[in-house]
Amino acid sequence: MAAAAGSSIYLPESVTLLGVEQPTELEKVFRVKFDSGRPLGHGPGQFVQVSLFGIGEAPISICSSPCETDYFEMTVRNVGMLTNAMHKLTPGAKFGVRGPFGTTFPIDEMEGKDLILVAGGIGLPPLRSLILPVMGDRERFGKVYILFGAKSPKEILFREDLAAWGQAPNTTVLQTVDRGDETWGGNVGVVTTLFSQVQVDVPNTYVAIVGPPIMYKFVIMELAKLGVANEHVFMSLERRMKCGVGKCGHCQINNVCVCMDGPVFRYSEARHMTEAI
Amino acid sequence: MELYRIDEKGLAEAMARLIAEYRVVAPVEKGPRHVFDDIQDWSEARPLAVGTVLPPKKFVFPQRETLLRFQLTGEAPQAEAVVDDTPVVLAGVHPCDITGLRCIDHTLAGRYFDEHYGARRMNAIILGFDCMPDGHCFCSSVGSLKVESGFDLFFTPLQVGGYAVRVGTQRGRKLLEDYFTAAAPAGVYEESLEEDFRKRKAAAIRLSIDAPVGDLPGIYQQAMRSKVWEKWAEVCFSCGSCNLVCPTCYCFDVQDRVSLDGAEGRRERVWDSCMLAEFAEVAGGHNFRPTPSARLIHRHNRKFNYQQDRYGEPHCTGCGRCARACLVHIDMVTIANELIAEQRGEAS
Repeated sequence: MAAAAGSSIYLPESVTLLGVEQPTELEKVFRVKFDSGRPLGHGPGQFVQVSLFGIGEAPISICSSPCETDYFEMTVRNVGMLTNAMHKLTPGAKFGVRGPFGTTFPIDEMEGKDLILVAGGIGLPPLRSLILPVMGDRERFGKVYILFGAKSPKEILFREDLAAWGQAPNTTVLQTVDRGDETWGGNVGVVTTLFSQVQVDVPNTYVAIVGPPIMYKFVIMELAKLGVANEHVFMSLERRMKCGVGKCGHCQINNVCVCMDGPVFRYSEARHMTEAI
Repeated sequence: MELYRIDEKGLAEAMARLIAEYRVVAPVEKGPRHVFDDIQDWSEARPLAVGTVLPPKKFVFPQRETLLRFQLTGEAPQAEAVVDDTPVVLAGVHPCDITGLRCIDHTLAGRYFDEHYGARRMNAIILGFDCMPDGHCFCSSVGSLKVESGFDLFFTPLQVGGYAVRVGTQRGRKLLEDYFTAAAPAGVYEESLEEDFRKRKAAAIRLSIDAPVGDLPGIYQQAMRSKVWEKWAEVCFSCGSCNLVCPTCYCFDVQDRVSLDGAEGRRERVWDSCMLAEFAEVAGGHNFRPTPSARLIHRHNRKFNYQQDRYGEPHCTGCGRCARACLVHIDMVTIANELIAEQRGEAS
C-alpha cells in the first residue's frame, strides 16, 4: 500500500530539555534526556543528529561523559538555522534526537599512557566527552596534558571544568588565547605555543585533537617534532552532514564517510586521505 | 539461468496484462529524447531506446521524497515515517541502469538500511532490455555490457524477431508463468542469438577507456594532483547536471516543509550534487571543497576510485548520460584516458 507509516532510520526519538546554560555569547550548553528513559549510550567523541521539526537537522557533538546515563549534554554554537532555533529553546521543550553516531576515541587503548588532549575553541566540548571519563578514572592513565586555545578570554568554555582538571594529580591544563584582554594574564598565541611546556614519555603517549580545520596540521607538526607515533594520534573531523548514517554523501572524504567511519580518525589512517586535513 | 523466447505479440499481450494490474513505466518519446514515464499501452514504450534523460533510478529514489510527516500542534511535535511500497514495473531497463541500481544498493541498502529506498527498491519489478549503444556509451569499458543479475526478467532482441528472455529471480519466474504466457522454453539456438546480439553491441561501442577497470582506482589515486583536473575545472560550470542524470549518484539534501498555518509539515529528501559550490560547506562558512577542481576530482574519484575501493565495483556504468548532459562537453572517458596517458608518459 502507498505511503504507509513504518520504521525509518531518519525518525528521531523525542527528548526533553532539562536545562540550558550560556557560558559565552555564542554558545549554550543543553542538558537533555530521552523521553523513553533510555540512556544515550555514547562513547567519547560521538555525535547525534538534533532534529527540530519544521527547521531541520544538524550533527551535534556530545560533551558529557559516557559514564553519565541520566542525561546527556551538547554545547551548541549559534551559527546556523537549526542552532539558532535551538538557542531559543527553554527547559521543558521537546525535540528530536537520532544517534549516537560515529567512531569514538579509544579510551581503553589509552589506558596506562600519557595523554596530550588538544582542543581549539568549540573543539573542547567533544573532547570533554573523553576528558571527563579520563578524569573520573584518573589512575588508569599516566600524565595528562590538556591544551586549550580560544580566540579570546570571553570565548573560553567550561572554565570551572578546566580549573578542576588542573587540580587533579599529575594533570596539567595549559590555556592560551589568540588575543588577550585586560582580564587575561595567561599565554597569548596559538595552541601550538603550549607544546614547549609538555613533558611526556613519548613512546607511551596518546594524543586526541579536536579543533578548527586550520589547527590540525600545525598540531601534527608539533607532534612530529616530539616524535609521537602517528598510530597514537586521534583527531575528530568536522564535515557537513545531512543523515549521520553514511547515506547523504556530504561528509565523504575519499572513500570514507566521516559520520560512519569517523568523526574520530587515527592519524596514521587519516594522513592518507587527501582531503582530510 | 532459465531461458525462454517470446515474440513481439506475446510480449505486448503480457505487458497489457501487467499494465492492467500494475503501475508500469518504460522509456517513451519526449521531444527528441526519451524519458522513463508511466505508460497506459505497450505501444508507447521504446524499451530499446538508449540514453533516457534520467535513469530509472528516479522511481526507487525520487528527486523529492517525503521521509517523515510531522504535526507541530500539541505539547510535543509528533512525527511518523512515510514508506512507500507501491509496486512498480520498470520496463526497458538496460544493463548500465541495472548496474546503477546495484551500485546505489551498496550504500542505501547496506549498513543502516534505508527503509524508504528499500521499500521502493524491493517493490520495483525490473524488466531488463538489452540495447544498441549510441556515441556516448562505453559500458564495455566498465564491465556493465552484460548483467547476470539485478533483473526479474531480461529481454534480448533477436535478429530473427522476438526476444530471448532470461529469468533472474523467483519473482521473475512467477511473472513469466502468470503474465508472459506466450513465452516458450528456449535453448542453445536462442543463446547463440543472444551472444550474437551482444557481439554486435560491443562492436558498435565507439568509446573506450584505455586501461582495465580494475586499474582505475590506482590510476585515479595517483592522479590527485594531475594538471588534467585543472584543465577541465577551468571550463566546468559546477552546475551539477552530471550528478542529476547519473544512475549511481545518490547524494541528497534533507529539507523541512511546513504548511502555511504552521500546524504540520514534511521532512523531505531531495537530490543534491557534489559539484555545487556549497555541497561541503559547514555552518560558520568553512568550505571543505571550495574549488571546481576539488569538486571535479571528488566526483570522478567517486566513480572510479573511492566507491570502487569501498564496494568492489566501479560506480560509473558507462551510460554516457553525464557527457550527453554536460554543457561544456566534459566526459568520463576523455578524462580517464588523459590521466592514463599522463601516467604512462611519466612511466616511460
